[in-house]
Amino acid sequence: MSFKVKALRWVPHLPPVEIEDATPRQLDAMQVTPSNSKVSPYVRTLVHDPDSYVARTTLFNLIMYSEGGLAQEHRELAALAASAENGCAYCASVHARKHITLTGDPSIVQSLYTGGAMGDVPPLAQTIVAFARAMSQTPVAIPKALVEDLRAHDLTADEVVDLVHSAAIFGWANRLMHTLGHAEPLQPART
Amino acid sequence: MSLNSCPSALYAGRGAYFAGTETCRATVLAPDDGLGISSETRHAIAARIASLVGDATCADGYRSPLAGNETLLAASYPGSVPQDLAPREAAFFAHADLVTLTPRASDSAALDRLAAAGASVPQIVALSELIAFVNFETRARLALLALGDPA
Repeated sequence: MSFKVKALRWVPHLPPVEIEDATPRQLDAMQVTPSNSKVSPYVRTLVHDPDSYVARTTLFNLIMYSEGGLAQEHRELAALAASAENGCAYCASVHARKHITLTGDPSIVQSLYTGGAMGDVPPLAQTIVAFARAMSQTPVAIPKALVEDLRAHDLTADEVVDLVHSAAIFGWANRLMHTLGHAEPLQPART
Repeated sequence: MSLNSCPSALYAGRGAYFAGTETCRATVLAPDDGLGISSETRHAIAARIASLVGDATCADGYRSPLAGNETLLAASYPGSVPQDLAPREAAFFAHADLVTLTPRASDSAALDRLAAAGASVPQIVALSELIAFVNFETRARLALLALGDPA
C-alpha cells in the first residue's frame, strides 16, 4: 500500500477576526470582496496584525514560488524537514502532500514520517533534509561537513538561496501555525 | 531607528528576498500601528531572540536603539528578565524564549499566560509575528554566512 499523509485542519487558539467586524485595512489585507468573503481561520487570526500579515505573505510566496532556482519539490522538502523539526504537524502535512504530488514518489516523505533510514533517499534530498534540520536548531548548528556536502551538489547561487530561505521561512511559518492554533484530523474520530 | 540594524548576507540573484525581508522587518520592528507594543520593546525582544539563535551581529544591531533604556537592554540578553519589567512585557520575553527554543512546546496554555499578563489578542499575534520573523531572518543569515558568498 502506498504511503499517504492525511490532510489536517487548523483550529485557532485565539478568536479570529470576524469579517463583519474587520477594519478596512484588515479587509484589504484579506482581499475580501463581495464575491470572495470566505477566509480561513488562519488568515483571520493573522490579520489581527494586518500589515505584518501582508508583508509576510508576499515574501512567503516569493520564496516558495519564485521562478527558476531550486526545484519546487526541493523547496517543499526543505519546508517539510523544517516543519518536522519544529513540531508543526499541520505545516508538515501540507508540504509532505505537496512533495508527494510533485514527485509521484512517497518514499522520501515516508522515510521522514516513519523515522526510517534515509539511506535509500537520493543524496541531494538527504542533504536538503539535513540542512533544513541544522538551520532549525537553536542555536543554529551547521557543521562544516554539511556545508561541504551541500557544495558538492554544485547548486547555483539561486538554488542555494532558495534552499536557505525555504527552510528559514518555515522557521517563521511553524512559529505561527503551531503556536496560534493546533492541527486536527479533517474527520473526527468515531467513538 | 535604523531599519538596517540587522545587516543581511548576500542575496545573490534573489534581490527580491532581501527587499521583502526589509519590508517585513519594518512591520514587526517599527510598524505604523504598534498595537500597544513599543518599538523599543520589539527591538529588545528581537535582540534576545537573535542571541538565542546564535546571531550576535544581528542581536547587537537590534540592541543599538536601547542605549537609554537599562531595563529593556538587560532584558535583551538571554537569561532572567529584570524585576522592574512590567508583567505583560515580562510575559512577552518568556514567550519569545519558549517559541524560539522549543516551538513544539508552545500551546494554548502559553497564549493563556500572555492574556493573563494583560496581552490583547492583536498583541499576541503581533508578538508572534515578531518572534517568528527574527527566527526567519537570523537562521537565513547564519546559513548564508556558513555557506559563504554563493555567487
